Amino acid sequence: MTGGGSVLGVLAKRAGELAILLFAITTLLFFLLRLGGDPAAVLAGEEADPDQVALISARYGLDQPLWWQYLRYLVSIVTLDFGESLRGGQAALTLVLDRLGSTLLLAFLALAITAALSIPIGAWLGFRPDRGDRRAANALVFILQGIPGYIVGLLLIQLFVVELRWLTSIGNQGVSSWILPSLTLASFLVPKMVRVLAANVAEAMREDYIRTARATGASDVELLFRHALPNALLGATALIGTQFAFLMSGSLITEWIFAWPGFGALLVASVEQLDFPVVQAAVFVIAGLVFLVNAGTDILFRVIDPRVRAGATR
Amino acid sequence: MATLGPIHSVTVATADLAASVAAYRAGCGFVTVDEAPLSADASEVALAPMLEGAATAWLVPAPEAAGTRLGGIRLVEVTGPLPDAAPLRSLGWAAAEFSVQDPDRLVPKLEAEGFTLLGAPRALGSDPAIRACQMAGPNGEGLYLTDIRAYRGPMSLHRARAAVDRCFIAVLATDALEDTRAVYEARSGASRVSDREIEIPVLQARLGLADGATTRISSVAIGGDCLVEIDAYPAGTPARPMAAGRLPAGVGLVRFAGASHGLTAAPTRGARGEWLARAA
Repeated sequence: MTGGGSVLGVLAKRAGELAILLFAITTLLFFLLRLGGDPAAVLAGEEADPDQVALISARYGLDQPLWWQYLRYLVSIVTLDFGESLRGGQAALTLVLDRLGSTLLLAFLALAITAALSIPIGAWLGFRPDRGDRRAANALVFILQGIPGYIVGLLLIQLFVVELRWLTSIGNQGVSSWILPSLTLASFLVPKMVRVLAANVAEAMREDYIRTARATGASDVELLFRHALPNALLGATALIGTQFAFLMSGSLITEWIFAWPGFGALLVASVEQLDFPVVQAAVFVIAGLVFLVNAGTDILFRVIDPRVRAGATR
Repeated sequence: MATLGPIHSVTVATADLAASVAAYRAGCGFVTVDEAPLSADASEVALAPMLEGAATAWLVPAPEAAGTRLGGIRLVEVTGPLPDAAPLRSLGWAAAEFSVQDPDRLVPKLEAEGFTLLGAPRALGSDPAIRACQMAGPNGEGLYLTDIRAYRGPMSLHRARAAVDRCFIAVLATDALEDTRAVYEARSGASRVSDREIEIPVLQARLGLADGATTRISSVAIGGDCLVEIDAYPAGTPARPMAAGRLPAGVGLVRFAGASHGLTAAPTRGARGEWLARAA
């Protein structure tokens, strides 16, 4: 968390950083995608003859020199014109944005589940971390952190869809179809958040000011909810901002497993099909989104915590 | 039963009265309310007869100057070198805890006046309910400076009315907590407020305790929403340095106002060598 500087100044600085980031990412992506193969050949199909491949190449400007394609690409980025999907012909950015809402819904649900689970568990673990039951629970959380999210997703499908038949696992078909994918996505974050909160609560309980609170008769509940937990939550909130990118990567896997119509699934399919415009648009949107969330968290801290604004940390 | 308290003042011996007065006035915003030399019937003289006629200064927090004049500090000039007060490292009155408004702003101001930082306040969030730091005064007296912004508990504690407000907790270090507490419970006529084992980082550092080592603290409520907090120091902790015929170093004497059960103006020696008296 950087110290000092007005909120407007930070906004301006972050806007500049965003521009540089997007330029770097889009440039890297442009060249990386073209290492994977000839998109014209992929579009034409395995049984296409050279004339058909040449026709597709000419149509999409893929027969031009690479430097020309790159310049045209940069110009189009500035105007947010990523071209059309090589598969369906729709505007690439529109296609991505149409799917963004579903992904953000999943992310929001996952964050809500993460907060609902990690705050009470983290507070319980951190309040008296030396007790035997807390130590055992901490070990369990540590193990759970090592279990990949897609394993969790598959286990949930096996239990709630195949065995119990309580829920659905395909697509977005209403509230019942939201539960398993959002739980799966939350599983990427919950163990880490629990451990961060527990550590922050334990640290807060070791602070010297706790002595005064205890000496003046503050109860365990008062200490936890009025003193330790608010301070611990600040650190956990910062983690959400930095883990948003991790959450986005988790959404790619989750959407694929549950056939969720988000832009993560779109991105995976587009990468497979070398649909460059859609891949470029999707990565551009992800990069911008992650950056904005991180910057937003940073700015929120400046607004909430005057000590960060004043740069007064010890 | 008449109860002990509230805390009237804490007495600190000083080798340079003028400098100490200036430090408390400039650093804490305290106001001098009396500068009479010690009379023959003063508590300090009963403790150390050679102090009769010694120069003194009684300072109180600014909001108290025109009122009850509680919770201040009484500086007594002594001749000769002062023993090392060893703040938070010896038995007896370990510290006087004052209610303050903003430890972060206060610390550099006090350091500029010769106070020493023992435990820094932490910038933990925008609205922490309690924030505290620990310092040693210019004469080695232990000072806990606590900003109480919000409090829910059995006492009626409020935010400081000035940069530094009243002393509301007298912290006593003992190696026999239960015996010491029994004396004060009998004196105070009030039930104990707390009895906990907690980690106190500043004590871990000052007493050389291991990381994670806990200290048992127990507090007894006295009048005026004040407390006597009794901290259990490790066995073998030395007694407060005290040259013969002199005041103990650091916080040497605590006076209590009100109808203080069993106490007189003449000082009484407590269970662990601490001196206490009733304010005249």
